[in-house]
Amino acid sequence: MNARSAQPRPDTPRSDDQAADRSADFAHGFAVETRGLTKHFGPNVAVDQVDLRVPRGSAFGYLGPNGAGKTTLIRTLLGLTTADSGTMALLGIPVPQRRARALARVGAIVDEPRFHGHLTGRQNLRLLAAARGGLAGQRIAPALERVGLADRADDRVGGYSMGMRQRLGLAACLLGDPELLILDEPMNGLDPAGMHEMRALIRDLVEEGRTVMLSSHLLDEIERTCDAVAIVDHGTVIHQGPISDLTGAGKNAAVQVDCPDPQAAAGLLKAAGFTARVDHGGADADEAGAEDGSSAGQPNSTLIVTSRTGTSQDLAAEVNRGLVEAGVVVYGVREARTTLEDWFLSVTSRLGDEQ
Amino acid sequence: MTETASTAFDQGPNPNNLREPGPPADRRGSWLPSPAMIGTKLLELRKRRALMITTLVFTVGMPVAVIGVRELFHLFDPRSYGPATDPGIFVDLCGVMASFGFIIAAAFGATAGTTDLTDGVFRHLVITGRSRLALYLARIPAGLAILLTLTGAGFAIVCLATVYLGVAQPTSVDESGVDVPVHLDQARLEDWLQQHAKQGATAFGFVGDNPVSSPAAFEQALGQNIATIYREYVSDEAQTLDPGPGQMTDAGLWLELDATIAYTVGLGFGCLIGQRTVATISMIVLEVIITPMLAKADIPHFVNVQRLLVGAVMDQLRPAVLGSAIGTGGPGSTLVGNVGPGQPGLTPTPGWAMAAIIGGWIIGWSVIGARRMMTRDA
Repeated sequence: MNARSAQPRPDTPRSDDQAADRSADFAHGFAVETRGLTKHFGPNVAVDQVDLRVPRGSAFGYLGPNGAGKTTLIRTLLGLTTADSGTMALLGIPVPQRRARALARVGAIVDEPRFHGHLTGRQNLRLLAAARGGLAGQRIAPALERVGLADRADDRVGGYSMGMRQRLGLAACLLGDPELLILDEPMNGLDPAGMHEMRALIRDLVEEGRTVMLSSHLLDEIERTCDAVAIVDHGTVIHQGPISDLTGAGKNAAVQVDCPDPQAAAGLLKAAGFTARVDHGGADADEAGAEDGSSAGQPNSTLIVTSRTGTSQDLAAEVNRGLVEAGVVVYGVREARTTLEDWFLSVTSRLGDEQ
Repeated sequence: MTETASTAFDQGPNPNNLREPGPPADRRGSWLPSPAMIGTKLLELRKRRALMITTLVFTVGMPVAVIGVRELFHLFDPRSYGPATDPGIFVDLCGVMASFGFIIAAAFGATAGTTDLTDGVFRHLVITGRSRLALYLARIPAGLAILLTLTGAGFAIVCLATVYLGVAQPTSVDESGVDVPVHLDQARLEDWLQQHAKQGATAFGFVGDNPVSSPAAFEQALGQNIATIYREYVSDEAQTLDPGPGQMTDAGLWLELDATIAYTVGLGFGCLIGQRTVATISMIVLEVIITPMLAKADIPHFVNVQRLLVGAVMDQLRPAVLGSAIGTGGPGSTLVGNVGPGQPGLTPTPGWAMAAIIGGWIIGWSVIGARRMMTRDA
């Protein structure tokens, strides 16, 4: 298959043979798969040679800063705009060649969810259910119930808050009993409680066997909600994979020790066979270049101890015992983990340096 | 979010319970809109309060107000004010309904063509996988169902008022002081003129100053002029008598056709530019400025372009009961001053050409609007 072939417009009929060929090409079981997908807006490249694979049955985060091309990729996947080159498939069905069939089991929110403000929530869903056909009309009430809008379903959408419109958008997604949900910035406009509930709902949907792909620039939300992630910057995917691969979770045990003199404590621990280092606000002790080797009194010095075996809890207990027995005052020992934010910032910093 | 809502989030009914039984009969790729799509689009338009009130005012409210005020004046002072309606009022009301009806229908079409886009719902509809052509086509019956119903209701009120609140129907037509019986066809008019030669000749003045000098000369003059005489008689009869059921039907169908054209053109144009206000203003300019100007008279080397104006064609299709067909400047001329009978008007267009022009406007703009909708970024 020519991964750079230009895409036909939506609704352009294709021959069954061509469609079947492409079907076979994408029969890898991914919920979303793109190859070399590219979309320009004039001289600007919004989506640049994106190869994306979203595993089925997972919550997948599409993470990137504002303007990175997240929404454009989603709009292209859904046939709201056309790709300049590349190929893509939803649930193994090539789009846009067999778009109607692919979208039969896809629900999506793109940008902020907007509806006819003069109609009620229920009437808006009726409109969409009529377009979807099948049993969609019978799913209106359960969908409203599920997103917690049943009580306000007969109010005009013009009076809804942003959070309520987000939930109505999610209800609209559920009308088609989707195998795949694509949610563009679903946490936008939600208060902390609403974000918590949205997160829980997304996890519930995944546990039901659905795939949820959500775009966001909120690193913490992605980390809390998703199993895997693709990180995009300037239209290019710079990394994709399980979040645990990025954060190192489950690989090494690591603890952070709070004590008055981290440098001295590090020396003691190294002598006792531990792997220890002192971070000075992101740089380790050698890089920091402390002349006397002491870090006492430096406000951002933290002692990190790692081990390739055992758990962080076991390591914390051993480190604590070792330091206390050596007469070192220990304020606290806690698990040290690399967050997605740490990883993201380090990667984007590197990219900035390269540029 | 409330506690109730939170509970619903966690424990609400699962749409999974409504799995499609077996392979669904998926018609979303079909270009034909489903009845449910038409029904919900109709609901969406019907719930637009400002649009519906405006449409109601100009289709039903305006004739009701005119007739109502005239009837009140008549009831309070019958000597100074005649009955609420007469054949002239019928014609005038139909003219105003045609003018405003075109503009309202065009605005209605432009609204139907743009609201999904401006309200941000278009992308939701596209994501359903439904054919964009079906989404467009659903708007045509949905909008027409409202417009044609209201236009028909307004016209029905005018007809009923004309019949029940109008003047008593005369039994004769005044032709130059001679009372000629009404409801004569051409043969019976000829018979009546032969039996009333002197009166007939006075009434229609077709045999010169000495009409009955010779019966043979009278017979010859009558035979030569009967067609012209009959047209004059019918025209005078139309101004005297209430229109009959057939004439009312013609006028009603003409008004409905006018609204249908305006709606489909407004819909297509609205979809094309995605902007309701500009589309509506453009349609008003077409209706009340361009068409009346270009439908006045033949412009050398330009007449075939003039004939392509749908307003000029509607001018020629105007039922006889609503006045002269030629040179009135289209339905919109009522709003800017009718150039009126006596203007030469455009050279008449053949019937097949008129049908082609009207069909071309309806189908052409529908194709343009649908094409734009199918290729537009959502």
